[in-house]
Amino acid sequence: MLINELKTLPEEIQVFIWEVVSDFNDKLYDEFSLDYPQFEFINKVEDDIILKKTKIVDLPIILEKMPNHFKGDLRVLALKIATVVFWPLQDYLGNVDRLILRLGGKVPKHISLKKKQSSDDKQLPETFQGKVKDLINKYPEFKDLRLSPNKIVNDKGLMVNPSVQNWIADYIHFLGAGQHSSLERAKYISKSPNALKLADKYKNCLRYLLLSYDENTELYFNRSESLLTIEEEPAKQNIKQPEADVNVGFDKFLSNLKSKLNKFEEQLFPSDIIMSEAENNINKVRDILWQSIGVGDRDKTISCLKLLIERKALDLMIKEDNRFRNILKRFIGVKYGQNMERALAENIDPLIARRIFLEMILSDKLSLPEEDLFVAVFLLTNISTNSGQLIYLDKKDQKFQWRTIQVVGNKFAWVDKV
Amino acid sequence: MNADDGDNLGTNYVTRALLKSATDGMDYSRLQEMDLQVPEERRLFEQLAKVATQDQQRQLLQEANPDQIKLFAEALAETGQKLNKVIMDNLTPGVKREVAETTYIVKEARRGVSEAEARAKLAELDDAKLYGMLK
Repeated sequence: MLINELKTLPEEIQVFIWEVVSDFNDKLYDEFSLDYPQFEFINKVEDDIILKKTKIVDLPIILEKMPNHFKGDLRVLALKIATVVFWPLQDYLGNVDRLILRLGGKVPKHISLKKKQSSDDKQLPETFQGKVKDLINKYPEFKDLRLSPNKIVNDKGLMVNPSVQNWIADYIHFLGAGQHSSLERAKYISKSPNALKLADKYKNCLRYLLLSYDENTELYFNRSESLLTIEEEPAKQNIKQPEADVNVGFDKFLSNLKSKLNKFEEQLFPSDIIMSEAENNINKVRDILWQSIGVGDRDKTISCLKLLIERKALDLMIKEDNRFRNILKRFIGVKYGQNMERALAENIDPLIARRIFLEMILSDKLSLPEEDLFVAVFLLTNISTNSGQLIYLDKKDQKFQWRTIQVVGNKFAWVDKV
Repeated sequence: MNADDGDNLGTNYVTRALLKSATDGMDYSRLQEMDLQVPEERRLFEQLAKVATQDQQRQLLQEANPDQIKLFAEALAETGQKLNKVIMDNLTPGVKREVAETTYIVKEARRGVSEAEARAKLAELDDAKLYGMLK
C-alpha cells in the first residue's frame, strides 16, 4: 500500500496495518507454504479491500485467481484473513460478518480498534459534565461511546454502532445540517426510523445528547456502564446503603403507597353510581368516560376506567369504539411514528394496547403528576388478578415505571419482563 | 553498506542501545526535515532509523520523501531486521532488490558467511526467491 493511500485511512487502521497485518502476512507465508508471488498477491488483495477498491465479500472469488497453483484450502485461507485482518475493521469495512458466515466461520466477538491516543488526548472519566461539541473535541473516545443497545442503520443502509458520532450523523442526515429547534428534535425522535425503535430511557438520553449538540447545553454524563447515560442533573452519589436502611425506606414507601391508594379510592365514584348514570348499560360507560376526559374530570375518568376493567370491557372498548381508537391512533402516530398507527388495526397484544391507552388518558389527556399517575395505574391494574402488569416497581429508586415498549419491525413488543 | 556495521558491530550495538533509549518516545515525523545532502545529517538520519520502533517507523514514513524512504529502508536493512510491509510496498523495484540484498548479506554475515560469498549466492537468486528467503 502506498503511503499516500495509507494516509487516507483512519489513524487506528494505519496503526493496525503496521502492527498487525504486516506480521500476519509473514505468518501466512509459513503456515500456508506460500511462494513469493502468492504472498504478494494476498498482500495486494488485502490492500485493495482495505482501500475499498474491492468488495470484502468478493474475497473468496479473488483468491481463486491466486498465481502458481495454491496447494492449500482456499476457504481456510480466506477465513483466516477475514477473521484476523478484516474482522477488526468491521466498523470501517462492513459486511465482514457476512463474509465470515459465508465461509462457514463463526463471527467472533466484536473488536473495536483502539484509537491511538496522542499526548494531547485526555482520558475520559467515568462520570463527567460538559457540552457535547466540547467533549467531542476534547476527548476523542467520547464520540465512540454507545448510547443505545442495538445497532442503527446509517445513510448508506449499513448497520453501524449506536455511538454518539453515528447518532449525530443520523440526526444530521434526517434533519439536515445547522441548528435545529426543539420541535425539529422532537420530530426526529418521534419519526426517525432509528430513534423510533428506542425504548423510552434511551430516547431520553438521545434527546439530551441532541439538545446539548444544538443548544450547547451543559449536561451530566455517565459511562460507567456499557452504555452512556445522559442527565440534566448530576446523578445522586451511588452510595450503597446498608440493607437495613433500604428495607426501612422500602417499608416507608409501601405504607405511603397504601395510604395514597386509600385516599385515591375514596375520591372515586362508586360503581353503582356510574352504572346508574349509564342506565345499567356497560357500553354507555364509554360515553361517560368520553365526556369525563373531555372536561378533564380526573376522578370520574378513573372511576369509569375502573368500572370498565372490573367488567372486563376495557379491551373491547379500545378495539371497537372509534372515538377512542382514533385518539389512540393519533397518540401512537405522534409517539411512535405514523407507520405504527396501523399496528392498532393489526394483531396488537391487548396488554400493550391497554398500556398505551392508559398512558394516553392518564398522562397525556389528564396530565396527572407522576406520583398520582402511577397510583392510578397501580389501582387499575390490580383490580383483577392475572390481568398483566403495565408498570413495575424500581426498588432502587423506590418509584414505579411504565413497562417499556419497543418497536420491532412495525410491531410493538415488550422490552423487559416483569 | 556502512563500514561500521561490519568490524565494529559490537560497539555499534552499545551505541545503538544508548541512542534507542535516548530517542524513546521521540516524534519521528520531524526527521523528514533533515537534509540528506548534508553528510552529518544523513549519518544521523541513518542512526536514528536503525533504532526506530514500529511506531516511529510509521511516523517517519508518513512524512518522508522517496530519498528518505530509500535511505531509511537501507538503514533498517543493515540491522538485519525484517522490514514492515508498508516500507517494502513503497520502494521501487530496484531499491527493493538492493534492500533485500543488504538484509541477506547481513543475515549471512551473522552466520559467518563472508560478504563476497553472500554476493556470489545472490547472483543466482531471482527476486521472488530472494524475497521469499527473507520472509
